Amino acid sequence: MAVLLEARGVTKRYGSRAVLQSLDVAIAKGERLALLGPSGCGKTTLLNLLGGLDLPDEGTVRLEGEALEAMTAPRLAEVRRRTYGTVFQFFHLIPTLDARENIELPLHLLGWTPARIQDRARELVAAVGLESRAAAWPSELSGGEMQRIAVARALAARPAILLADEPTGNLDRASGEAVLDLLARLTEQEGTAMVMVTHSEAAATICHRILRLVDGRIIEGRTGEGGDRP
Amino acid sequence: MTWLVLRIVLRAMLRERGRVLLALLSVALGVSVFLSIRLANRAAVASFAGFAAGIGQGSDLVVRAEAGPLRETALPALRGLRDEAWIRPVIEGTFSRRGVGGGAPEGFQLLGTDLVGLAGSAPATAEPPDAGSGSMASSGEGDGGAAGNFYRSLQDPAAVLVSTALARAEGLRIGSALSGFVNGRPVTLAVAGIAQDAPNRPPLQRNLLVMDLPAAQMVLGRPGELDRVELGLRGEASLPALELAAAAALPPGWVLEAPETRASSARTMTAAFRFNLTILSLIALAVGAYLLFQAFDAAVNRRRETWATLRSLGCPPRLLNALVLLEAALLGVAGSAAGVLLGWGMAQGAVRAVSKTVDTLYGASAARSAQLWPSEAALAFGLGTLTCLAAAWLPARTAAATVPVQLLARGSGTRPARWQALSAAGLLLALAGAGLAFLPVLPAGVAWHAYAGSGLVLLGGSLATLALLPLLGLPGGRRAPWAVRLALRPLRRPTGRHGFAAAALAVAVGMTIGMGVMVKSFEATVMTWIGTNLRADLYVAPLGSEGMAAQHRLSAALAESLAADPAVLAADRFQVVPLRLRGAPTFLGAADFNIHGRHGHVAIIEGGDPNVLLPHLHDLGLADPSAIASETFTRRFGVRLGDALEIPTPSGLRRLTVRGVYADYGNERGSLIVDRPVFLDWFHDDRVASLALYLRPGLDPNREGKRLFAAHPGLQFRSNASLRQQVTTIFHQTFALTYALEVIGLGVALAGLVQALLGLALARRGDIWTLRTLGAKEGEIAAVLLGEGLGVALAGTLGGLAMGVLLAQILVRVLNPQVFGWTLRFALPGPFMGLVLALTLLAAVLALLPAARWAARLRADREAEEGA
Repeated sequence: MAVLLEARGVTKRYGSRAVLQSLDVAIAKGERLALLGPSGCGKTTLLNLLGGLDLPDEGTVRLEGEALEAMTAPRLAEVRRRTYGTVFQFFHLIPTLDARENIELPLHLLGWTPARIQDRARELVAAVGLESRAAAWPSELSGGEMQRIAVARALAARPAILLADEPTGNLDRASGEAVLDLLARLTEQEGTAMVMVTHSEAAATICHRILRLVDGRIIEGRTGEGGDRP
Repeated sequence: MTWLVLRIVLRAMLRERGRVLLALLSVALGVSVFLSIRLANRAAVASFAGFAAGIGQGSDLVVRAEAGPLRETALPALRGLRDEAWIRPVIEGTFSRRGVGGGAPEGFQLLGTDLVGLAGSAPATAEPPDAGSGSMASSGEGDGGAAGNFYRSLQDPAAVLVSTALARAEGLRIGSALSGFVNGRPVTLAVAGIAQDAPNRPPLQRNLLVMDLPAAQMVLGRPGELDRVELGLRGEASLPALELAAAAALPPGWVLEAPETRASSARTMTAAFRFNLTILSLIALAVGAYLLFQAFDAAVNRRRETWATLRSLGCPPRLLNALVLLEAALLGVAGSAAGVLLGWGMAQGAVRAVSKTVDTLYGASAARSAQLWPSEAALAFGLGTLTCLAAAWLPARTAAATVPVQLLARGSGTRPARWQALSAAGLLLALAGAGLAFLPVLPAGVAWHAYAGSGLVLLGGSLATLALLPLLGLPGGRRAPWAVRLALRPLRRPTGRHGFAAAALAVAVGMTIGMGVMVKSFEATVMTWIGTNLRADLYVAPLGSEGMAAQHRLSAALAESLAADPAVLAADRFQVVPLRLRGAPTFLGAADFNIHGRHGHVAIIEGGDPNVLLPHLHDLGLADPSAIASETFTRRFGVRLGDALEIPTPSGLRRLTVRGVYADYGNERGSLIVDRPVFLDWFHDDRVASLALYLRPGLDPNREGKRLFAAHPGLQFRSNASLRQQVTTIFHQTFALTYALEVIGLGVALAGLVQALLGLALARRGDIWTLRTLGAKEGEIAAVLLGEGLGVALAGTLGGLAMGVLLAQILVRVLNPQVFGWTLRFALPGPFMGLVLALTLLAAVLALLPAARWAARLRADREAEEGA
């Protein structure tokens, strides 16, 4: 198993309170990992550390062997462009860009040619089943539609790893299931690893592996229903 | 309630120290600018009327002549009033000294009155109002000067009483000599006493010199003449009864005035200048209010969920409204208190600038420091607090109207403004304002429509500016680079923050452009006028003499000796006296029409060629006395070409015909000019206020000026070129404070722009966070935010530019002619406007850059990160 992303001995404190305590976790290429736990257990903090959006107080996070905390800010930004995709609970689509433009945004950041950008955007719009809504503004989309666009945007640059923070937390059951199917299908197709933060047991089942966090520690690790680990 | 206040209001203020500090600064700055200008104005105007307050109890009535001086011989006519009032005769003049090291001459107001009567011993023609006031009592100041010595010393015809301020500044003691010039003649005065400042009264002006009446009359060369007689009520006497008795006792040609008339005349004199300053200070306050509105709007928006939660817990909307307004009141009180202190400090600087201008423009000696007037401080404090409350009114209503369902709303929290409706309404308002301002025929002096119209143009123009935002958003189309799209797309559906920031900047830029175009038009007109009018080689006036209100005069003999100098080809003698026509103050001047017509030039607007008209009026002489009237005069008194006027003179009412109208930008009261022989016949006054000398061809004016100066050190000789230079300097000096205030207004607006950008960034922190997770670099995000801010700045600047030109049209074409009687040539200064545009945008970049960089590092909302 080739390790893509690895956190070793990471501790994170907010003031005197340790949110994560000497935690170890590794994600293989193409693997889907669920971080399960109650609110405030440190799931999102761990996700931010894995994505290089925050730095650990102790320990290290390595992406393909390179420590994120040693990277300069421009290098980190570069890594985020090329290697990461992110899906948020509240979608965070840019309200002044329409659905297709939101998908195109990371590709513009990467400097792709317009033709390539359009092809890729068209492909993703079709993949998430929103061809008829491609020109809609975010304010005109439903929650489920917004999250599907957000998933398409996160995968646009064919990242090595997708970080999903409660991707169904703000959706009704049907929309949530549709988004989970989409995440599983597309990451499978693209060979993208995924770390998903959730407090939903049901959502976690699409992953290969599930880690349960309580008070900043991993108390349980088990296999999910996402099929064979790559 | 207290529990809520402590936790919701005070705790939030403590947590958001940056926002609170910015709001406090906004209030303090607005209040301080407003107060400092008011205090500076007060100081400048007070100096005009400083005598009455300075030398003792103020009078209740003042007697003056309609034209020319009062004759002392007629004073016994007032004797019958002695039971009801004390009577104080006064003569005024000016004593000048050369400036140190060749600097500008220093002027002193020389006041002659009955000192013996004033001090309370042996009243002759007058008695002191309050013998115990002691304000003019002699003080030894270490000299051991007793009262007896003081009275004895008054027998000295050069004895003068000086203020404590002057004595301290120059180390004067009793017996010290004070050398200078009166009406161009060298004079040495002897310090006979030092006036102590009375408690609870403003201190005596430093530049006040007081002499006994006969001595002052001698020094001023005006024996037997008085400028006014002051009457003060005794004991139980009533003012209406005194007025009736005085009116019955007055000799012909003498008029009764309330004492404040003089001060109000002074106020009229500086009206144009003060109007200019007050409007600008109000603009600073208005733009500050915009800033505050933004601050409160942002604060309310940030705590949206708090309001929603409180509502869901059963908190009534009225209470939420009260909580926001309470915070505004706290900020208003604290900020205004700081602003009052800051304003008092700033006033010390402003008063110097104002007084310098007043000195220069009006020939008066203004105060050099500003005192803190409690009424002004209270006004500024109240205005600051009310502005704060007014700015918080709408956000408070928003907070009160927050519905609990917003707890679930996780958007940016900014709603698009109804820009189409607002900008259309703004355009209509601006057009209505312009229409109102340009209402056709209204009587001179009536300008309410122009003021109201300007206000509507400002309000409407700032709203119409919103329409520019979506236009500036157009380049952010699908083909634009992503950063441009992200920067400009928000402008297509502008929020209230975009709108307010653009509108505030538009107001500031509009005012700057409006005032700038007016000043440039004024400058262009005055420079052309000077170029036309100033034809003589040398201009001669007594030292320290500036403007029509100056009281310096040359004797006829001195003027004659200068005219007879071999280098002089012709001399035009100019004299001027104040006049009351139909109860309003104005001036009557006298010039040598024959000489002026042949050698000089006057900018005649109506009446034909001056070189034909003036000799013709000279020929008409006393047989058909004629005058030319300044444009201001014709507007003020509703006079037209060919109208006949009855002029009060010391020899009775005289009739003249207005046969020409000339342009004059020298005073706001207007003036009539008659031929010198007519004036001499009517006024029996052969003195000269100034002299224009036309030299023989080939002579160097500078060299001749120096030669003549060596022979007459009490006079100032200015060559044509140096006089033009001086006028230009005065012009720019006059508007220096205006420019400074405009910079403050622009600074406040730019601060508003920065605050708006920060507010927008805070509202878009989710977007910023998304961009960061997508791998956008800090610099790229900052560029996006900077682009958005610059779009707003450009909209504000362009809107302000258009609004400024419209405002300038009103100022130049309506307000100036209507209020001041000055027709100005509208000049649109392209380079100036380009400079304002460029500097505003440059300042916007410099102000926005650090804000954008800060905002680019914003973290997402905690709840967004944590998934709530």
